[in-house]
Amino acid sequence: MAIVKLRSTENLDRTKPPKSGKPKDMKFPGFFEAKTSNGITVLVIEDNRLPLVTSRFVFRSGAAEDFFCESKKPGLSSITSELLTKGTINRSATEIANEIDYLGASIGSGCNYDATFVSSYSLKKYFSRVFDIISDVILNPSFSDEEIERVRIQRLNSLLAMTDDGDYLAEKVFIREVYKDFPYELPIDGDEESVKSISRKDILLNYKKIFYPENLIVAFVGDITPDEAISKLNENFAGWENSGLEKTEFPETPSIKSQKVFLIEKKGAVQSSIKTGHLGIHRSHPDYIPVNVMNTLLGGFFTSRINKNLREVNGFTYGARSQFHCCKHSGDFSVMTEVKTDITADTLDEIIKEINDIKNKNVSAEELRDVKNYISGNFPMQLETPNEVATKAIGLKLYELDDDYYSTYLNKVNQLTKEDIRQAAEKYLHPGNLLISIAGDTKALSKSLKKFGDAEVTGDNI
Amino acid sequence: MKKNKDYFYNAVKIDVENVLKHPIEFKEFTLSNGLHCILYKNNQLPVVNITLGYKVGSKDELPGKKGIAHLFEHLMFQGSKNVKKNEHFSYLMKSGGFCNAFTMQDSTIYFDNIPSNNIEIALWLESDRMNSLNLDEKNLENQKKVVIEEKKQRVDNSPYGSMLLNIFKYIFKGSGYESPIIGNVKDINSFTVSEAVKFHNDYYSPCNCVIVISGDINFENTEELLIKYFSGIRKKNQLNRKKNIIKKLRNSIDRTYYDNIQLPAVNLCYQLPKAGSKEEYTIEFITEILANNKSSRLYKNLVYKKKLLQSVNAVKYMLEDSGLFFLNALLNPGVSPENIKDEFLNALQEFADKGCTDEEFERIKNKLESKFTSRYLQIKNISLDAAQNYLYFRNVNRINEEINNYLSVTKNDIAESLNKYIISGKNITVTYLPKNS
Repeated sequence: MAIVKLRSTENLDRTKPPKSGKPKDMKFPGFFEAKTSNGITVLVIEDNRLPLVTSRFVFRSGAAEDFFCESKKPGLSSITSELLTKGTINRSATEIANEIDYLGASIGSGCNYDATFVSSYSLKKYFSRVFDIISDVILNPSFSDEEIERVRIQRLNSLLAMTDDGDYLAEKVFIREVYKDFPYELPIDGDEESVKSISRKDILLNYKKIFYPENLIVAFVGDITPDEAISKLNENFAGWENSGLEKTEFPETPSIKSQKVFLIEKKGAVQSSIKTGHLGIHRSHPDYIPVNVMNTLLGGFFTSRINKNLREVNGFTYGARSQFHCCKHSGDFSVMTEVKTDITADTLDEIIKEINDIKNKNVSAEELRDVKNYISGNFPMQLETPNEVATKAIGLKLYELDDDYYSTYLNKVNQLTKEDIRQAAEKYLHPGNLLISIAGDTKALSKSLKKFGDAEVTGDNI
Repeated sequence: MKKNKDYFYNAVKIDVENVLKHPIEFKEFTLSNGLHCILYKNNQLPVVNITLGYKVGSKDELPGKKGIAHLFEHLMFQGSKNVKKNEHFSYLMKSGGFCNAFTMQDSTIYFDNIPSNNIEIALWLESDRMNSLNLDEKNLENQKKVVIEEKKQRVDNSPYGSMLLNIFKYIFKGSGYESPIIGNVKDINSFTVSEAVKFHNDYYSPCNCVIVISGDINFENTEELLIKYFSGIRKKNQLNRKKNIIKKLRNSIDRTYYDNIQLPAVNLCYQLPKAGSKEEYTIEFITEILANNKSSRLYKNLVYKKKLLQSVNAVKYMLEDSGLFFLNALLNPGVSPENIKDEFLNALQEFADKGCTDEEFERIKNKLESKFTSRYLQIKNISLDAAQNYLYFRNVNRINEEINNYLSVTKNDIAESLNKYIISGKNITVTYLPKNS
């Protein structure tokens, strides 16, 4: 029913912004945690607002394992995880798809460098059935030759299609160079040569190295109690034994490289896709919070220095951002944007200027206050759905963070001083050591980027 | 674990009451200047979402001015009478918030997510830019450059980036939906400050807008704030909106484009009736039975069994005045696009001849139940759907009614829609081929 409000306020003073009200306290939601006798870490993030249950299986190893094969096998872990849902000793790929779709549920799998994920989502009333399928997929994958060949062809074609994307090309070369000789140097999705050579034997060994109970964190999310979760988990996983394989030892973190330009030809490019940066820090690094607050100011949100400069002042780009991408054993810092070919050099100059500025001068008190407010205000918005809470809870376990990490997070952010920010910039930004990776018109760029050093040019079939 | 096939196709029954156990309740009222207000209270987190929907989109643009609805959306962030350039974003963000906007064919949506203690700052900002823009030549030129780079990034430099634009061009020829939202560079560059001011006066008035506030509010205070900030805005729109006439396709057409891509793509496209028609619901079943999941007909046959495709999708795109249905395939190297078009036509004909199975029909209902149950965990989805349901249907309670509209579809309804709009309809085939082929 619509009713019309008749009052109006003619004499409102619009010239000044209204004052803030008192902020409300926000606690990081609690969650249940337990360990099974065979070593599975169990988390339950209960939320019964809606009759939905998600189960998220997270194994503490991923694509980094590809580096440790006898000869490096980029794409192996990712293909193994993709094949899980393509058939078990009890169900064919089609049967899995039919059963899951029929229940209006979904099931997915994949990996990053540090972890392998398998998850299911369904209405509560079908949870038990869906959980039986996801359990089967994890415990009894068949890795049939037919399915391996099918996934191989799909993967080769998708790798081919990805070369159309300038951002993908720039990122691939950047990652290869920044992590040279470290497990993160390899592309997670693989490359043509490796994907062609992966055998069923490779896949079985990879499965054995990743999928065992002690390596597993399971989060149950939504309309499910810890009792229900544990009893269902025990029903399907109590008999699962650890493989006894030794955990992979990581080599030492690579060092920061000297400045170098890498150009990748992208046919018909009307923009340069830029990714430039250097080695960063790992996720559980004690300086993670100051480094990330510093980066937010530099290029981590819309009103950051880099976006303001490149977009709002210069109109070079639709958007530009920087990030510290922090993985379990190492990490990288990079600035990313897309700009016209003929202003690529100007753009790099501005990026380097902004990095130098935040390194050499203290940020203003106002800037620091604003970014703290931004981070504090946006934090609760990341906890709206139980799955968002679960992502953070899983992160605590996966990256071995302190249990009180999220409950003390905002306090730590708000205690940072201008000096802390400058020190973080001083210590972790190296504008003289940038790896500059650009996909675009290499002929024009080779000339205009001369002042940044000689470029290594790659054709578009990397 | 044993496979138990018996339970499989007989034990599942839709439980409509379960989905509707908690209908979403709104409070609605209209200010005397015509601004329609919708409130939804949910105090789970100390956060509110404010969504403003203005009833203006790319379909309202005049010839020679294609792309200005979207460019104007950018200008809304460039300062108003009491807010300087860049300050809109910075006020929002330093208040712990986040904001953005998007332009569609039929409307333009602005949203702010902000801690509930700072709701008043967001309302001050939104009301100031509804009341009065403060534009200058320099800001306009800057945002023209940004939008042109946006076009390059999204369309020109992106693989298949122009595909949907070309589908619209032929399906909606002669209507307001023909031109792309992003527009063209010449028209964007021709936009002047005085035209921007006129655009604001014409379309950005309270009676052409709906505001939805969802989240951590109480009704009384929020009403007072809406009255405080918006009721003094006196602007009225005088526009004579031109009618968006959709022409039926007279002939089937094939168009081929050469792009910087590796894998060919084929799209088989049909015109549908507008949003809210029976087809909004019946065609949903057709999209899901044919594609979009691993148990669908085209996926099983063309991706899985015959290995002809990298992916296959069926898309239903509903607009205020019309609709679009298309099948889209990304082809494996060496596969002929004509062959895929034939496969598509055969699959549609077979569907028309034999209908769908009970299993398929139940599967889609289960999926819809699951989809509707999860959508309203996030207040921003509630705000967005409420705003659009008001703008296009003047019925916010569609949020609660939609699931029944879907679940009451019968197999017969599906067959009727399929025959009327697809089997007997003309089609447009848009094919993309690698430049070097």
